[in-house]
Order: sequence, then structure tokens, then C-alpha cells
Amino acid sequence: MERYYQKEMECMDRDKLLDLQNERLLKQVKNVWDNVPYYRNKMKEKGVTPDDIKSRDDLYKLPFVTKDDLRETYPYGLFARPLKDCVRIHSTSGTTGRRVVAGYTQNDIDLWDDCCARALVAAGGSDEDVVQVGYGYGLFTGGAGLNGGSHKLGCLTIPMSSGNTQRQLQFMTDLGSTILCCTPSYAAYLAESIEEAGIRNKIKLKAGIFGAEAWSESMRASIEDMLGIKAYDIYGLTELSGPGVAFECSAQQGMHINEDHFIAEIIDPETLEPLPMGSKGELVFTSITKEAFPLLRYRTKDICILNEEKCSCGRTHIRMSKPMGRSDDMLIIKGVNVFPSQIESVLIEQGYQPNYQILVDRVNNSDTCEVKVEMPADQFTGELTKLNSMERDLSDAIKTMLGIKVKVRLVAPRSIQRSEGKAVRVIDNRKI
Amino acid sequence: MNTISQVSAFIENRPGMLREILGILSEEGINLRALNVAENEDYGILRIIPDDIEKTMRVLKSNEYLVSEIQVCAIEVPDKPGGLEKLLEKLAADNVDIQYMYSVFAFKDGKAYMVISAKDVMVLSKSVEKNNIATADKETLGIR
Repeated sequence: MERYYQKEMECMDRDKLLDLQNERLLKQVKNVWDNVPYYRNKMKEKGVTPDDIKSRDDLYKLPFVTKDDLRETYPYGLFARPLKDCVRIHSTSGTTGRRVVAGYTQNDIDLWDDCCARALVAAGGSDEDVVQVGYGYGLFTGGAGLNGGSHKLGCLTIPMSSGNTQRQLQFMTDLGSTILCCTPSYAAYLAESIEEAGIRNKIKLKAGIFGAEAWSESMRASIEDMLGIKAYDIYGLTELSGPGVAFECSAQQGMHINEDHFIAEIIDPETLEPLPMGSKGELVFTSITKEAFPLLRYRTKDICILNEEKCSCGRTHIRMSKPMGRSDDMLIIKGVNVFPSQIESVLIEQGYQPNYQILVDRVNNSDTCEVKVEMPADQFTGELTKLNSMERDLSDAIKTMLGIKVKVRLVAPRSIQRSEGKAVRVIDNRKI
Repeated sequence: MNTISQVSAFIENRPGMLREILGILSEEGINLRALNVAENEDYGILRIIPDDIEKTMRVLKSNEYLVSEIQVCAIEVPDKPGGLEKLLEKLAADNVDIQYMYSVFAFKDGKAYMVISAKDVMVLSKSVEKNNIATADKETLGIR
């Protein structure tokens, strides 16, 4: 018997849902027009006013918002509420080093928590469950989002954060965690550690909610098999709130988008024209209930397919496929958004030429990242210790910027392969 | 203290890389008096004492190798058990911090030489002079 957290919303009749979306969209468009000068100017440039938007069929008239807009308006330029009404900041990496900050009112947090609570219930969760949140806590939305949803649902919440595998396993067995939330690669790593430690019979897990990075059906099968659980996908972006923009149900056939809060479109990333339902293209979201940081037609750069067929779980909200790729050069490494341009800016800052290559792979279900950097001729002294310390310093600087550890490897000048004169920046060997 | 020039070159840790650079030198008729390779996981540093330092630098640079030239010292080592140890004992007593050392190819007069690089050349030089340790000059090693 399928259970829901907010049945009236999640299973709402499609016509009623569209009416609700239209009503909320109109309110939101007027809100940004009135309260965010940057939006008003963007709309004026496109020759559109709130009066031109009568329903979601008019969405195409609105300008897009991209990460560049978020960077340009950093830090508060897109806030639609005074700071005294805002209660929280989360942040994600931007394209060229500057971070993106998103603000939340208390109401925004409440609605976000609802979205995550829906995901937990769809994964079979209830207030009887012990939820181990192994996503990072802090500026990253993973920990805060699932933590909030778990609280709201009344689960016993263990705010573990990421890492410290020994402690994760100890709490998992001692406290009897029943639902695990973390990145899929960390789940796979935990599963292996559990097998190695021979404590499979001591864990009580029944489900996992794994997101923030790409994972395949074969990885799902392996995690489900090793842990004896059902593994559910979850999708979200800091810019929109965080995890819980969309989530998987018992059918495990795509993620239901919380359409009472987000309107999804698929566009052609080249022509920017909206594509019909079922087409593969770039996912674009409009947040229709967000107060502090509303986004109209935000380009996620994630490539996927939407599916409006009725789902066997009874939810009426449309489903999105797992993201199949990106329309920009962003990489997700260990759940962290990484733009090659960020690494480039660190190199330049440290006195290197931007001649580099990023190699990404997945070893034992965990992402690895190596950055090859061409050695500047004037820095070569012939001492091995100097080379080692140069590598270490660069690796530290990149860790400060990205928050993840990468292996830096100095290589000979002009040794990085170039195609048509342009260096190949990223080699991603992950089989996902 | 006599000093001689050493050329260091950056080489990637792949099969054939050492052969490639030595091939370039032999094609130019450059002969080597000493050679050493220091390596880590991904790359190595080739250190050589060539018979023609100027030509070596020019040829390697034009082949786009990363190279650097520094002055090192080749000390004469008595060719008997404990010969090197006795010398090192003296250097250690004078606080010479040795970074690396390697041997010079054998010479017909039967003397053995070690190329030695110290963290502080002045400290090394003082100790060498004080202890009357013989060092090879260019002529002895056949360097132009």
C-alpha cells in the first residue's frame, strides 16, 4: 500500500495541479518584477511584463536565468525578500571560482523540508524510522535537506555528515539505522566496508536515498544487493532549494518532480526553444513558491527526459529521468560540482600557465580526480623535493577552492594533448 | 674546491623516455661522464655530467626538454673498503647536508670519483678545503 506525505498535493488531479501552478506562477512573476530590479530589467530587455504571463503556456516569453546571472548578482542581487526575512544561506560552486549563494525564508525551509519528507515517505519512511544522514552538513544542501525532511516526518535523525566510515558503521549498528541518506558512491563504499567487517547481519537498513551525483542501474543493483535494501534516487540543486526537487517512488521509474513547487521545462540547449514532452533536452526550472530566492526559468544544464505518463504509485506529478549528461562542462566529482575554469583560476593564481588536463575515474565506486599540469620551464631547478612540494601546494590550493582532494601531477611542457590547437581539458573515464 | 657542471632534465616515467633523451645526446656526439636518475611515481629527474655542457643545454632545450644547470663537486674517493665512509665522516662532522650523490664512470688512472650535491655549497666547500679532500677538475674528467 503506497503511502504519501502530502497526498492531496502529490496525487492532485492534473487539471487542478495545472491551475495551482498557473496561480502560483503569476504571483511569482509579479513578485520578482516588484522586488528584484535585476529581473525587472531582464524582462524589460525581452519586452515582457507580468501582464504578458497568463499561464504556464506563456513561460517561453520569460528570459532564462543561468549561473552567470547568479554570479553577476552575487551575493544578494536576486533576493526577493529583505534580509531580515531570510533565515539561512546555502552555497554551491560557481563557474569561475565565485560561489553562488541561495537564501531561504523560514517558509522556504518548511517547504523544502516537506519535499524531502515526501522523498522519505516514498522510500517507505515513517516516524518509526531511524534516519542516518551521511551527506555533508554545512553550506552544502545535502545534509541540511535530508536532516530537515527527516525531522519534519518525525524520524529519529542521526546527523552524521559525510566521512568517518568507522563511526558511520558503529552508529548504524548500535543505533539501528533503518534509512541511509548519502551519495551513491559513499553508499557503495559503506556497503563494501560492512561486508569486510562481516557485520551485515547487524544492520537494520531497509532503504537508502542516494543523490547528488550520477549513478547507474547496475550500481543501484549492486548497492541493493550488498545492503539488502531498496535504493532510491533523489534530485535537487542548491539554486532551487536542494535535494528534493524530485524524488523516486516505489516504482523506481524516474523521479517525481514536486510540481506544486517547481515547473519543469525541457529546452534545446542550442536553440533554447522549448521541446515537446518526452524529448531529450536541458532541464529548466521555475520555482513558484520560493520567497527569498525565486528563480524563473533557471537552466540546470542537466540533460534529461520528462515523462507525464501516470505512475503506478498513484502520484500525479511528472517524472524526470536520471540526468544523462550536461550541456556545459561541469563535472560532479564525489558529489561536488567542479568546473574546469575553477581549477584554471587556481593555476593562474599560483603562477602556472593554464595548461592542464583533468582526469576523472571511478575506482571501487569512488571518484578519483587527477590534474595534470604542465611544468613552467622557469620553475624547474632539477630538485625532486621542489617538484613534490609544488604538487602538494597546488593540490592544497585546489582543495581550498573545491573542497575535494585531487592528485596533482606535473608533466613536461607541451606534453598535454591538444586537438585543433585547443587542449583537451577533461577526460572522464567513469562508466556510469 | 673544483666544481663541474651538472645538467638536470625532467623526464616522464614511461618506457622509452630515458632512451629517447640519451639518443638525442649520442646523435650530437655528446659523451657522458656520470649519470643518475631520481624518480617518484610519475616522473624522474635525469642528472648527467656531459663532456660538453654548452652543447648539451642547447640540444636539450631545442628538443623542448625542461633542463637546468648547476655546479656540483666530484670528490676523489680512495679505492678501498671504507674509503667513502671515511670521507663522509669528515663531511658530517662539518655539518654538510648531502642532497644526493652518484658515482662517476671509471677512469683509467684507477681513481674513483663521486658527484656530490649539498644543500649549502659553501659549507661543503669549506669542509672539502679544510679536510684536504681532492676534487676532480674538468680536465681530469675530460670535460670541455
